[in-house]
Amino acid sequence: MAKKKIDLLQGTLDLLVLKTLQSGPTHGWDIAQRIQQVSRDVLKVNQGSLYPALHRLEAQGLVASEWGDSENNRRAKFYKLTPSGRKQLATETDSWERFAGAISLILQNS
Amino acid sequence: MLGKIVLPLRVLFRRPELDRELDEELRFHLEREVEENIRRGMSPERARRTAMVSFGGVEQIKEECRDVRGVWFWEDLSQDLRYGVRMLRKNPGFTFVIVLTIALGIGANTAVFSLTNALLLRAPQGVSRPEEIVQVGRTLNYSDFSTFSYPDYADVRNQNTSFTDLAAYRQTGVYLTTGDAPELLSGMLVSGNYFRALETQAVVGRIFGPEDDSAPGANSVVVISHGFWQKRFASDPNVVGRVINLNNFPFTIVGVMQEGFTGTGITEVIDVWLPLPMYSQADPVFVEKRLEARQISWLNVLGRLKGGVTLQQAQADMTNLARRLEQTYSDTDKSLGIALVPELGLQPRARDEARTRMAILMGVAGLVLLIVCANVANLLLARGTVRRRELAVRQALGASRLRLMRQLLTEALLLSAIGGLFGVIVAFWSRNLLLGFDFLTGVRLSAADLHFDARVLGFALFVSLATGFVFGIVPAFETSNLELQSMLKDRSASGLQRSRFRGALVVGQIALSVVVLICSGLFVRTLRNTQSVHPGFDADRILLMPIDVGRRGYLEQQGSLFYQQLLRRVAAMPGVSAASLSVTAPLGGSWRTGFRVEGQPPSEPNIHCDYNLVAPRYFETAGIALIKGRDFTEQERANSPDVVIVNETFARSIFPHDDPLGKRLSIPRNKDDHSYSEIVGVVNDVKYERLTEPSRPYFYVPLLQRYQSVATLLVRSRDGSPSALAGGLAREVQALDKNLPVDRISTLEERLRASFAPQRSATTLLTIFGVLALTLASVGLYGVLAYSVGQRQQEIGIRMALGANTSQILKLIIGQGATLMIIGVVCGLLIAFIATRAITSMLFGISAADPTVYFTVSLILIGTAFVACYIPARRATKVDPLVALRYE
Repeated sequence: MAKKKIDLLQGTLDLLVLKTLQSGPTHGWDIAQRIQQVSRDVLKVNQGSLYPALHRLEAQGLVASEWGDSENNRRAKFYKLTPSGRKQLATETDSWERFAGAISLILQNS
Repeated sequence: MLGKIVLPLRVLFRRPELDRELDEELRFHLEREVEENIRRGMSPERARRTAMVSFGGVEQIKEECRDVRGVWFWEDLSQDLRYGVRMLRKNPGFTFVIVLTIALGIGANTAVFSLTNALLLRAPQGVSRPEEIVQVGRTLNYSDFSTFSYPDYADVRNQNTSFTDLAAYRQTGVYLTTGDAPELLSGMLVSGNYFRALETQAVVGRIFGPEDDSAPGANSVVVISHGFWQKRFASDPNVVGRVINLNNFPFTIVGVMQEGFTGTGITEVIDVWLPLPMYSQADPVFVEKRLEARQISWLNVLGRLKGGVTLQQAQADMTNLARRLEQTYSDTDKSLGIALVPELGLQPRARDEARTRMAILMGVAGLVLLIVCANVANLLLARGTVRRRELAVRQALGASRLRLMRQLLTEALLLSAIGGLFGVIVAFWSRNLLLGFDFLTGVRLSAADLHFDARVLGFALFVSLATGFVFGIVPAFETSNLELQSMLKDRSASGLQRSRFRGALVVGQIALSVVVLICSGLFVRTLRNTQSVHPGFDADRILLMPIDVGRRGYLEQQGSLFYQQLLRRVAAMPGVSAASLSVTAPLGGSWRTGFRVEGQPPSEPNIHCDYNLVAPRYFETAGIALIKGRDFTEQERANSPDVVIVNETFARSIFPHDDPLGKRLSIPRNKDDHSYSEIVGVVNDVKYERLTEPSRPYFYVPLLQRYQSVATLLVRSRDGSPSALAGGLAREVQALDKNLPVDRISTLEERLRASFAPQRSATTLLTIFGVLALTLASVGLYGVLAYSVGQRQQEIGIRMALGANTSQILKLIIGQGATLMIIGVVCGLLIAFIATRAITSMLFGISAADPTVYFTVSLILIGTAFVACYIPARRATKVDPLVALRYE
């Protein structure tokens, strides 16, 4: 039961993470912050979902990671898109837009 | 797919590093969050607390991150294993009991399997692609599997289209007469293509080829076995060309076979291989022109299937050939077919016997293993109850139920793996026990036969894992079923279902052990019945000694003279009350022939009957009563009128209304013999081949009238200690001919005992299994009750406080055990009643539903179970009500 909810979130969260990383490598905290800011605080990313998602994307080869210095000069793990992650982002964006478009069509017309 | 398993393995070994990185990553996030909160104007403590709260369960996040690494399986496995090892080491007593139980169960199964492997599964050594080899035999009216005559063999060999090679062979004992005293060797007469058919090679010299297959007596060459080469010639590499005397005939060694090659059989040890045309040198009994006689069947045949030819195609080919032979040689080959049996190894009849026996032993060993599983499952369930709090804590910390189940199952598999390891050791150690047994008539296994090859070890591994799974799955399922809240608080009330389940396991164990015990009980009774059969001979007073004057080259006249002189000398020995000769020894098998009664219409077929050729005083010597008429006399020789003595059953079945004395039978020596033999006496029925055989018609003809060069000397001792006569007997024989071998002297009693050996071995093993089953079931019952007493301490305390006395408490606990026991026994009796029908044919003098056995087994079980109940019940009465009540 709990599993289903995560599945739903998963796809969306993955897409948001990939999108955020499109503008350049960054670390987990920053990803969470940016999603929150860009969505004007509508979407609040839970750390309990974010890190498993990052590790999963890494295991799938969609993102890669390396350790580097953060903006406040501390060691942090930076994630960046891999070529296949870029491709995945394109497909996911496309299918999301079609999905969202379809939903809004229905909501507007009926 | 492979990458998915192998790559994560690499990650597995980097695990500590990855965990450190994860820690650092999450710490960075947390600290960054705290900084952010401070920047928003919170006090440091508040900032930290807010960050912590919004972060959630760190351990859970870590766990999930690890999961997505894709290596969770291996990681968790190694973690489970480490955890499991720690658990087992923390409870050495518990671990010891379980490992011991499993080791016994798996040991028993592995030992029996190694025996099955040796007898039925393993291919003979030194033979290339043994799966292509088939045994070829002749059948009479589509039944039986017997030998070929040489001309038939040669025709089939030349005309078949299915085999690359069709080879003939015949085992025979030969005497090595090179040294001082003749020594009996095991020899094999083989056709020139025998070794080629088996695709085997000599290590020194050469194997036989078609050139060794020429005229009878012309190829005095021999191939010796590796063992014989080592023993006799100290592995001399220049052995080829040396001459050994076999049956006083010189043979030149041409080759030494590779080590382990035993030819076609699996358990015979062959010393020498001789070319088939040397048959009369190898076995002087073979006086006829055997390579030409189509009526004499004596050759075993094997063939190697051509590539792509199936057994069915080969069978069709053989059936055609058999039909052609039948048409061409209607006098000798009528109703004879050809049958194929895949694979080498035991002869089909022995294989059937081995199969039945092994099926029973494997079945019973399997039952014992089931009991082991039930027992261990029970122990694990009990243990699981103790561990519920521990597991609840793990679940609270984020472990899923699946994860807990896997942990428990891993522990079970760990236990079964350790148990299996010790089981193999137990089986290995019990090999000596198994070697002491004769499981098959005439088959002696050596330690090498029982060696633990990949198949035996694979079996042990498979059984161990399967066992672990079987006994582990239910406790894993049950124990991981936690109701968290109630668990963390205290003991739950849901133990009822669990204890019901444990009760069911105990019932199952008792039922299965009833089956095992009844099975062994039936075989014990069968053995006792067989042993108590009176063979009709005075076994304890008779000494037997094989005499083979054919090997000394005696012809009929010389041989007859030797027999008479020997009998006269032996009868005169002090301590001997009578002596005689017979061609087949008592209970040593029998010969079969066709005969006709005088006046029988020509349209009626010959009657077939077993018979024996005996010297005068045979009945007196063996202790067989003469009912009517007279014994044979010394005057009955080759030139006097033929006579015959029949047994009671013969007289009754052939001449139901007339006096058999004076009646005449035609018992032809060969096709041209039309003489009649007059019945001069009627003797008591005895057992001729097996103690369990029913009465059957049988007759005796005088040995001196139908000479044979091989016989058994029977000596009846006056005072009942026949073995004391052995030395004197050997001296008398050697005084007549010092070159005649005098080994293999035994008492009939010894032979009888040897004939019980296979049955006794199987029975002993079954009894061991029975005791094992009983012990395990009692331990299981004891365990459940002891645990239940522990659980019910409070209740017992209250009862006692309310005035229950000792006997009431005893009754309470024993009653609980008795219920389980009675259900178990009843179920077991029912299962046994149905299951033992399968073994009816192997029982003797007892029905598969023998009430005595069923009753005795029930009593034994009830008795043992009572003891198993009494100990915990006794402990229950020692419960101090005050302590028990205060405990909560």
